[in-house]
Amino acid sequence: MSHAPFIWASYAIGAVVLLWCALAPLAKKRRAIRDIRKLNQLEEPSRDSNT
Amino acid sequence: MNVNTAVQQKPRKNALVMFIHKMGSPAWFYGFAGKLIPWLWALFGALAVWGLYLGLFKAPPDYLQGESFRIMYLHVPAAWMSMLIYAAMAVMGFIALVWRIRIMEIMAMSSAPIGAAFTLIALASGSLWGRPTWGTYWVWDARLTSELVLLFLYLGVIGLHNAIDEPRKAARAACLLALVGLVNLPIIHYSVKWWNTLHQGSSISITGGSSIDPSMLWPLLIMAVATKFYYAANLLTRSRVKLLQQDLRKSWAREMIRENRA
Amino acid sequence: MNTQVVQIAQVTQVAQGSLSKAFFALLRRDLLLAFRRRTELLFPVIFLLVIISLFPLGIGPSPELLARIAPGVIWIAALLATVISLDGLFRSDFEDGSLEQFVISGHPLTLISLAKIVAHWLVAGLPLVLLSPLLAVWMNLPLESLGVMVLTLALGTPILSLIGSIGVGLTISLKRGGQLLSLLVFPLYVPILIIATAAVMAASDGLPYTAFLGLLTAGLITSLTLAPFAAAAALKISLS
Repeated sequence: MSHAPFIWASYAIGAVVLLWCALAPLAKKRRAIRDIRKLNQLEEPSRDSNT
Repeated sequence: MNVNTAVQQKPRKNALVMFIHKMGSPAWFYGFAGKLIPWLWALFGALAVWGLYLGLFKAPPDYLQGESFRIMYLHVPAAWMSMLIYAAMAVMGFIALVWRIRIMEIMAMSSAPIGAAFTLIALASGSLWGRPTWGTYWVWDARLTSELVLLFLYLGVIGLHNAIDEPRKAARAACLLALVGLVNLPIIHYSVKWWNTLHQGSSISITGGSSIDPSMLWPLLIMAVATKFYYAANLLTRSRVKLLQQDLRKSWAREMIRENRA
Repeated sequence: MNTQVVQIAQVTQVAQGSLSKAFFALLRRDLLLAFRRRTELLFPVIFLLVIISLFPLGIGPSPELLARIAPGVIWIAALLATVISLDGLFRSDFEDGSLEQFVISGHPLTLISLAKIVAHWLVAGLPLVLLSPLLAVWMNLPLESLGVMVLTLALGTPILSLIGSIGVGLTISLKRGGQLLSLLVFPLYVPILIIATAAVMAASDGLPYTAFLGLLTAGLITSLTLAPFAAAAALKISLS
């Protein structure tokens, strides 16, 4: 039995899991920054109206 | 009282104390971690490429196992990391519980998914290694069974953390659970190891038990160090994001976004 | 509910009294409350009987097969029954607010946890121990190992209650806490399961088993001293 498919499968699983683990927080970061931007924008109009 | 004596000399704080003190400031941590992360990824990448090259292409095939031993360069560092990260998580959890340091809570909770990922990789690669070596995809040997129980411990910490709404309370509860798990971990390991010998007679080591040749050992050590840089980079990334999520409305975060410094 | 209030008042009245008075007052209160709902006491017992009967039904009634898996099956059923009954350990007190009253009563939360754990074991663990001869007969467990089986349950079920109480303390404020509880607590139960079943299997084969019983005893003493502290810490976090 050739061992190659098992080796490739192992490293493929490793790569997929580590890649997903590394990328997952980035989507959350984008969303968080977007939320902060929205919060800032909500404040901007009231700032202008106060001056 | 004259003005000169009223102004007291502040005692000099040493650099380490200052560093730890600064770490408590979210803004400082966010910036400092952000600068470190690219370097950590670079080191991980370089070491991983080097280690994999040596392990997959340069090391000679094992006389007993043929080529399948190459899975070791993924399986063993992953298993080591799964245990190291649990210990780190529990230590950070202990500091978080005793001293109520928020950044420790955040880093402990950020470690859990990374540890679970490594445990999963250790289990999958161990299973795939077992098929050509022992003829079966799953075998209840001591190491795989302990890894499985470790995965359940991680899932419990992650599950408990996700189940509680208030973030600091959720972190504290999960940190306590991680600590309880850490105390039990040696007991679990030894009882599983002993259980395995009881039911299978001689213990079969997945590495064959023979002393390992240096050309086989080097890639293993390089991969072991590489995974630590992965953990550090991923941990800081996740911690920054969690910090941002918790401090959405705080001024440091909003200032930073306003000035486009994120 | 009124009588519960009276009982809480009795416990907190003892605030001036000694620790042991508080401990026994709380123990007595919990046992009284449990016996008021006598039918609820039977649920873990019935559950245990049902689980055990499912095994021959699912695996086949071959006596040799049943005898081989008997120690594991009985112990797994004990684990499941304990986890199911654990959720009730603090939950009703949490829901009606009496748990918070206990916390601010001035008595150490560790003592309160211990009293409730003892009450839980008397109500949920002890019946398991007493039922085990019946279960052993059903599973065709060799008679030589019956005594050891009962002994492992007598030593092990308190450990299950003690370690389980930590999990309950952590999940008490959650709506579906019971489901998460089993995930949290089963990895911690693994060593107990391994050692207890090893003891019974050794006894069946005529091999020495006292070392395993010694390990179980050590586990009992350790968890008796440490678990209430962890459970108290967990409750403090949950109630914060």
